[in-house]
Amino acid sequence: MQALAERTARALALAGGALLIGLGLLVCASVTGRALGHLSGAAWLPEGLAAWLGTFGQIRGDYELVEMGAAICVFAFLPFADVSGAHARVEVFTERLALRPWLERGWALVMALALTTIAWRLGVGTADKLRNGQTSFIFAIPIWWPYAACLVLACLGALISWIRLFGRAR
Amino acid sequence: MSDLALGYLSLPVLLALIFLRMPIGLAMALCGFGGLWIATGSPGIALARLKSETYSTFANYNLTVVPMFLLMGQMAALSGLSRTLFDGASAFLGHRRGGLALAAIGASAGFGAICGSSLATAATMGRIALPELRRHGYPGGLSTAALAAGGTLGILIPPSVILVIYAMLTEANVGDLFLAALVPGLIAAALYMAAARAGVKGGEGVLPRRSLAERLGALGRLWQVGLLFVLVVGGIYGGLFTPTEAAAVGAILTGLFALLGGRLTRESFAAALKETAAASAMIYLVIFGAGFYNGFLALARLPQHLAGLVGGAELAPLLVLALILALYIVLGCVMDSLSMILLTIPVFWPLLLQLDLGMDQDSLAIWFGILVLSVVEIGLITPPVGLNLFIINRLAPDVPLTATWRAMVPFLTADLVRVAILFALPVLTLFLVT
Repeated sequence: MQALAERTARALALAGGALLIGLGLLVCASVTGRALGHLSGAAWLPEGLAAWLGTFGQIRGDYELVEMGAAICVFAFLPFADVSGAHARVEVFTERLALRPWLERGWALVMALALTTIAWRLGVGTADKLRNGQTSFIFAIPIWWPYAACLVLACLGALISWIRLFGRAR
Repeated sequence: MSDLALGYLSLPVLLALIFLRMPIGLAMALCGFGGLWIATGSPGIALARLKSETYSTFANYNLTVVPMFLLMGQMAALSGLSRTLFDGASAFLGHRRGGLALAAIGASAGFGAICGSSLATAATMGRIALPELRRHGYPGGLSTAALAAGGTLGILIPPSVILVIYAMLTEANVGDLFLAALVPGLIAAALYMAAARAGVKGGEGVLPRRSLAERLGALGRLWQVGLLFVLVVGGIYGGLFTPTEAAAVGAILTGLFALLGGRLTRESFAAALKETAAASAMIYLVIFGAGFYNGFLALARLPQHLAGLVGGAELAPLLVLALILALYIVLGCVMDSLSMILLTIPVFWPLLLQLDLGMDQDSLAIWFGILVLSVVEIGLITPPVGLNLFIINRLAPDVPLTATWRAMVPFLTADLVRVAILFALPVLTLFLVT
């Protein structure tokens, strides 16, 4: 169970990383399109070429996709940060404390509770967005789609933290 | 209890949790949540905020620059550019006394120009330069100290993840901040080189002097670094890109260089993605926690009250600024730089705006940003928890940590000298921007 949870966290991190690269490529395409479009205004270009370049342009609303993708990336990354112990902490004062293993378990419990609360509230938020039918400005993507994707990842993250907590308790 | 008293009370509680090793982002979120609960008498408002606050914090276009820059740094580590940089710097400096240590610092500065994170710079340059330094008989402590200090150039020299976050908090212009960081970053590199020279005992191996043609050849091989720097930092400043676009283009292009260099393996690529994931998630959790906590502090009107208090005390404005910077150096001994900035800038920035420091708000934002960057970065190389020291020492297990600490002294002196220079002469930071 423990091993499966950690493998899932790693797989999610890799999937999130792939999505991040995808977003990077999207932005690159958009920027290149914009540059080609600008180039079409150059007077020294033959007319046909300029007209052809004029068909290029920035991907309108690319930032909407980047924003949605970024949120999904972060929720995919979060479980792995916990598993790999990457979260920022202050180490100095507890280094020689005999209580330290107990502290660590306590904070793991708080973290699991926090992640569960976050997933619960995100679920309520998703239901809100589903009900009010809010869509993104340019692509008119229903906002509840990315919310739901994040919700799935947040639930997985919470589940992983509970599994690891009970694995540690034994 | 008044909201204000509650706000002040939350500070020691937060510090206690953090010092008891609770993850910093979690501690801040918890204190913000608890504070909001007590202040409003029910958990309703805090829970209502949570419905959309996680998503809206993470789905932020400007913040996407952070994972993109982290990805770029990881790709740069895979690209072999670190080796090219070290060879290039050695061609120019290797024949001098202590030349390889100077080259290590110069190469770190070069790597800092394409990497926005100190830890990645220290880890990458350490892997390349440490074995060379040791092979040529450099003392262990000096080698590790030079590379740990050189690593801080990763955030001092633009691009810099910390400056992006700072810009978000103070609504300063990222392009201006990057440009303003350039000269202070070069001063830092020069002072570090002087510090390394002071630590050299003699008897270390020296490389043969290279001909001009060899040097130009080495310089030419650095075209990828030059291209990335001009494209990313120049592109942002010149208004060609938004910072997010520049970081995305930089990350993809650096990845392409790594791919074409033939150094990309499945394992190293997966490891780079995982590093990016862990570091990004860590930063986003702290950003989320800090946002929640600072929301509570704002409700308690603590920043305004503190600003009024300091304004009423009629202290000399420069003294207040100096005290703030000193506080960062002390806090930096135990806390990581990003958490410090996210926690304190929303409180200190309104406070500074009340003071008359003899410059307009935009200049103040930039000068203060560079000063803060310079002092929080010192925390990375001060014992006991300087992260750069740990990273480098893991690469050189035969060098005792205490030897690194001892050899660190000249570099820390160089840091303090630099902060004093930047403090005394704001023009060094501001002349490129205004």
